[in-house]
Amino acid sequence: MKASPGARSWMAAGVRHELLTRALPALRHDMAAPVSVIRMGILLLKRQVTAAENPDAAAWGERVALIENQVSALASGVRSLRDWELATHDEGIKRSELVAQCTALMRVAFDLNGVALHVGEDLSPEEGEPSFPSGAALRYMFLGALGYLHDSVPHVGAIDVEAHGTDGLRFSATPGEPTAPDPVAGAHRAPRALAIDAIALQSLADGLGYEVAVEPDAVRFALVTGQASA
Amino acid sequence: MNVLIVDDNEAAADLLQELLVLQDHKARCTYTGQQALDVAASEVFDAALVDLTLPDFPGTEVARQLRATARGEPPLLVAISGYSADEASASAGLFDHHLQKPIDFEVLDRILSRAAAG
Repeated sequence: MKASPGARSWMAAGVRHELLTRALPALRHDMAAPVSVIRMGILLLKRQVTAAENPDAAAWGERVALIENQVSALASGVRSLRDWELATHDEGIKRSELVAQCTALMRVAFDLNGVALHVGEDLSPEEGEPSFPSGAALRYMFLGALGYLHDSVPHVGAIDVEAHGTDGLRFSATPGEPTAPDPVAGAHRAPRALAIDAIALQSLADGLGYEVAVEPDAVRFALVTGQASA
Repeated sequence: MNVLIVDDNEAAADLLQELLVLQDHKARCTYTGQQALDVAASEVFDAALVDLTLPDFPGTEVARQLRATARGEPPLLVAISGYSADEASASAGLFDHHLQKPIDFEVLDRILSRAAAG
């Protein structure tokens, strides 16, 4: 049975959901860490206030500053959730920012699974670098490319991310040493039953309007919709 | 109790140390797995609070080595997990307790108090 356009849209939405599910542990971690510090900092202040015979204003000021700093980090984490909303108007994203954000988000999960993420020097921030529209869609494409290589290349040891022309990205996987799966590391990714394969990645790209080139151990796409990556 | 803290979030580790000291425990902070193992080689701890995600190697490996190299009774091992609830079940058997971030200090305090009471 041939899939209707509606069914293809659902498939793309399912892939986005799977990718967001994989990113969620890191997003949650980035917010839980400041909450931990805030809770402990407030508890410590309360106990010190109760117990203090000679209040140390400087030490308390330092503690309050630490809490304020963590509240800012938490607020920033909450705001960053909007980065994943496709319907939200965004100001676009520079290629180097996209790479830095997504690799920072996923690096721990990939490290724990023995996969190193290498970013090419040609993706360092540059003066006057252009912004590309639809930052949220590009984040999903980036994670889709990483997920495809992680799930589809046997014994992947590293994924290299490089610039492709002036407006594209290329991802390539290199094999590593086969190792026994670590159950704790495995907890950092979604079940393999929902692996991102070539069809899933293609569906994601179609749904978001990007041209993607999918090879057995490499992916490339342009950061502009409807434009082939040469 | 003498408590070893292993967490790469230095602010969180330092605050936890201060809170434990206020509860009349001794506490020592380390920020990497290797630091923790180095410290544990020369000091006996009654409990270790281990973040599962450390910069140099997994918290599970720290726990395994703390158990393997313990002189006498191994320390009470408490996992601190910031990523996935599945981590807890995946490392079940290795740790005595699991705490999810953000840590509830009252819960930790109860765990340590019960252990101290024997």
